[in-house]
Parts: sequence; C-alpha cells; structure tokens
Amino acid sequence: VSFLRLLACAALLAIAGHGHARGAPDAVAALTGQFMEARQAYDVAALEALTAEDYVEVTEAGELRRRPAMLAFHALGRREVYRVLQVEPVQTRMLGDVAVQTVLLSYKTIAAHKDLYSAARATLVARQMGEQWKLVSAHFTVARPLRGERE
Amino acid sequence: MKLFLAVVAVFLLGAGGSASAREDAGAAVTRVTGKFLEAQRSFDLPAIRALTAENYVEISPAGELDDREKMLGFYAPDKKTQAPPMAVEHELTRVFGDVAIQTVKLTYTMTAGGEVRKMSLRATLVAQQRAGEWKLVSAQYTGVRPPPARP
Repeated sequence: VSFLRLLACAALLAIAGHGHARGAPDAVAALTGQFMEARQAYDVAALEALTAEDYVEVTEAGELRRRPAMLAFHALGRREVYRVLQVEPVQTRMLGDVAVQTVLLSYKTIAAHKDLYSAARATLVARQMGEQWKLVSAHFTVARPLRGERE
Repeated sequence: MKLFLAVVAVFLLGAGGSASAREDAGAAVTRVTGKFLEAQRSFDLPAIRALTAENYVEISPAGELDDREKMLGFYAPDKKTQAPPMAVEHELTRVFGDVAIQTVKLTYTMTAGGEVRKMSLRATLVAQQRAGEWKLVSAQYTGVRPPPARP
C-alpha cells in the first residue's frame, strides 16, 4: 500500500509539474503582451512591475539602455507619433526558468496626409523569479517595410 | 565556537565558489561569443555550426528572422566575401544558471576612396549550457545610429 501511495504521489507530482511547464509559455506570452502595452501607454509603474532590476534593452536606434534609463525615458511621456498596431509572438523557447520569445511588432505612424506602416522584430528574454515571470532583456530591430506606405 | 567557525568557513567557501563559478561561466560565454562572431566574420561554416544549438534563431540587422539552417546558408563557402576588420566590445554578461545573456558592440572599419569610416552594430546573444558546453541559441543585431552631426 505504501508503495502504491508513493507511486500515486509521484504521478500527481509529475502531472502538476507537466501542467506548470505547459502553462509557462502562456505566462510568458501574457507578460510580453503586458510589457508592450505598458511601453505603448508610457505606464512606468507597470514597466517597473514587469521588469527585473537587472533589465537591459537595446533600442531600435542600437542604444544600450539599463532599467533606470528605460523607466526615465517612459516617465517623460509620449514624444513619438507611432502606436503599435499588433504584437505577434512568433516563437517562444523555454530554457528551464528562462524563456526567449521572438515577437513581430507592427506600427502605424499617423502623419499629416497619410498613414505609414512599419514593423520591428524583438527578442524578449524573461526569467521566472519565484512564482512570477519578469523581463530581463529586450532587443528591438526595425524590419524592412512589410506593406510599405499606404495613402 | 568550533561549530560557529565551521559554519562561517562553509559559508565563505560556498560564497567564494559561487562567485568563482559565475566568473568562470561569464568567461566561458565570452569565449564562445567571441569565437562565434569571428566565425561569422570569416565565413567559417563548421565553426558556426559547432557553436550554435539546433534551435538557434537570429534576427538580422534588417529585422529578418532566420532559423539556424537559413543562417548557415548565408555562410556557405561560395558566398564568402572579404569582411572588414571588426572590433568586439563585450559590454555586459549576465548568467542565469545554465543560460547567459551577453550584449556586445561590434565596430567595423571600412576604407573607401581613401576615407576611413566606422560602422557599429549592437548585438544581444543568448547562450545555453548543455552537457557542460555553451552554445548560442539566439542572436539579434541592430545598427547603432550615429550621433547627429554638429552644425
């Protein structure tokens, strides 16, 4: 009976572990979605909550920014005219308690006479800290125009 | 007292060992990323293959997402070109267990019409340790925008 109990416990633990592992990519996708939303909204409190203290990013201009500089930049408020149209997670790879996600970002720039469409690709790295996933790295690169200009 | 001293000694040994292990891992990652960047520059296909994991993904400076097979295709012997001299600056290395994230700045020196020009890229490289060996799983490159010219 003891052996059966032990076996049952092991099976339950294995199922729980499997469920946890299955839920991790969803948790990472939710985190990166919230992060991109917070950037778009210049929501400094949310950015602070979603990033680890050692967070570092490389901007579309190739600038290396640590977390305090990233937060200070967003605290200044909106100075750009673009807004994100869509965030599309392309691929999520789980490497233990670290996740590497590639996303495609589509932007629409509101200009005087016409709207311009552009895109960027980002690699976002998240780390599980306790029960929570937090971003430790983000890297952005402007992609060649997807759809070009639209009148 | 003996027990107290033993606890302190164990703590100090543990802390020393852990810091040393992190330093070793950081140095090992820097060696691998240095070899990888030089292998890409010199079109050394076998080295690139040996230094990347099968699930390697890269985002090029043009924002294109390439899997390992596609990336290896760019470095086929018939596509080899003379790359300009490159300086690598390892700016930041973070090790999270068996995953490491490194930010590097690559500066290329080109000569055209007797004029020397420099062009820089910033890269985020993610490596994973498997069976004692570090291999790259992700790379993303972004051109560094030059500072505005003085009037």
